[in-house]
Amino acid sequence: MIELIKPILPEMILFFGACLVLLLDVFQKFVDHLMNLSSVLLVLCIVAIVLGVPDGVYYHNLCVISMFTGLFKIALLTLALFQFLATSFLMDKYALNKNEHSVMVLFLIVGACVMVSANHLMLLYVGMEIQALAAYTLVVMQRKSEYSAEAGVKYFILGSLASVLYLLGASYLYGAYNTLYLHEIITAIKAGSTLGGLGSILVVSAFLFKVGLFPFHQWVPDVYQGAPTPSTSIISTLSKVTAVAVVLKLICGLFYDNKSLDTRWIFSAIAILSMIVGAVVPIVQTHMKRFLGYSSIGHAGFMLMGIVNIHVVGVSSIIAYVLIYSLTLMMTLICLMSLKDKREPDEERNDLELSKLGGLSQVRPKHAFMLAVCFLSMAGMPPLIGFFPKLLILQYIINQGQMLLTVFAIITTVISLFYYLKIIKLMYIDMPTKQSIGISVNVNMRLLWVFIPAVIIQLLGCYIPILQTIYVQYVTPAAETLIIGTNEKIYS
Amino acid sequence: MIDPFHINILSILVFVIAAMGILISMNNLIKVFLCIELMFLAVSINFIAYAYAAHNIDGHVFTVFLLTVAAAESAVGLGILVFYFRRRSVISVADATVLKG
Repeated sequence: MIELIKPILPEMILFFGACLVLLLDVFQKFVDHLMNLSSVLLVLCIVAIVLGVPDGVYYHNLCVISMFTGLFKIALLTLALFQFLATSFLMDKYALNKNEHSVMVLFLIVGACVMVSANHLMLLYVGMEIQALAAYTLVVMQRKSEYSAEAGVKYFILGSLASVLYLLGASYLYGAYNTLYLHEIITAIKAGSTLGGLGSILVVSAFLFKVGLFPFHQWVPDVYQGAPTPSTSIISTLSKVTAVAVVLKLICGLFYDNKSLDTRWIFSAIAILSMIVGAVVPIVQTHMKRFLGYSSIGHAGFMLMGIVNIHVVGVSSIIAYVLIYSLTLMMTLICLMSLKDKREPDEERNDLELSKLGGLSQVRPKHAFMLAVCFLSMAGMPPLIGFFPKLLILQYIINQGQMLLTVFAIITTVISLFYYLKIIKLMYIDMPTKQSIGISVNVNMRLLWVFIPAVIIQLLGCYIPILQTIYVQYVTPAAETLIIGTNEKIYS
Repeated sequence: MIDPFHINILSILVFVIAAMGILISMNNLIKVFLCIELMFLAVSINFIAYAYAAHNIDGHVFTVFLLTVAAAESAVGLGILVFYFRRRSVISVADATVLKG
């Protein structure tokens, strides 16, 4: 019996654990400890993945376990764990039920894990819907806020349209090749057919929506702004990491070595336009989370450059980029969360106006320092960790001779440095005003337990050898499982 | 003789009608949800046609899953709709203009 469920043991732990948390939530006695229970579940799940089954395919080719899926699942769980540890004592400020919140996060991770290891279009769809429904619920969790309601409606409508696009694409792929298994489609698609090409583009574009790339980016700033900040931090990191994993899996499978379908110009155009949106629009933003939403579009565009020519180096630099960027973004949002004071939920919109960060360094020096480190890291300043993946991607596209992309990447990075520095100037040079946030907050000292590891992680960029070791030992093999002869090796 | 290609055209027609429906019924969220359901059904027709033509069971199974998941999705959607109506006292998407910039 245990052998039978061993490949999906992590998902089982999460699913039944989430049900247990939901059940125990009705007993007054347990209410305060359930966030800790969820954290324990996440740790158990990481252990189950590390000690799990050997790489291969399970359940009649439905489910793949490989270096790639293991890396992404552990990254997802670690990010969620970080969030739980950091926010368990911040949730009361948000008029959120923290246990319902953690249940939804657990369900979201179940969906994400299913998506990452799915090898069947139907399984991929079910995973995507589990993840998306949990995400919609997270957005509307703040019951008193009309911003939350509006963001929820927008996210739901656009998200359903994305899943319809995916289904249409899947139906064309099914019609062209009469199979729903990804590895069979990948083998068959090399021959080329119009229906199959159309299907694969539709399927990939549904996930480009989830990442928030240019033609499908409209939902990103609205949802980031409207959702309560704890949910924003989950959606902007966990959902994005999953979507990037699936995009990598699909693009490497469907478009690698595919003579009949040249997608390079499409992806170049999407990358360039996303980077332009992410560079120009944030300059005029006045709300912190909206600003982060627009800048994340730019980061997604930067990532996409690594896959214009499909190659192991590009894929592994994308993996490094998405993991490091999500971690930095989560740190930024946790920092902003801890600055919130207890007011009516609807005032939250004004709570995070950029102008209210003025003079933060004099009111809350630790927070200001942390935010400054995160922003510089996102901009890609050398001593910090965010520089490393940017360097990898730029190096890769220069080696590939993509000069147009390189020029746009460098220009947009410089512009983005400008607006990140503008916020740092606001925090360090401007004087605090009466409206500045953080004046009335009692910061819980347990936050230091988050800040110190966060700064250490950010400063890892000073010590390149350790990053290099991680990159060579874990990230590159993960990328290799996607590209080099995976099909022949695993499925034979 | 009807082959999958003809059904494909039917499904595209239904799909386009649903898409137009979303565009012209922006003043009513319920209509938008109905149109999204119609899109799911258009895709199901496609799956069934291909499965029938290829004598392959996978497409039929996918359709069953698709309908189930679509039902769950509309349950969540209606929940969000009720929440939105309580906060804003309208169900029009065109009025959703609090978040902008």
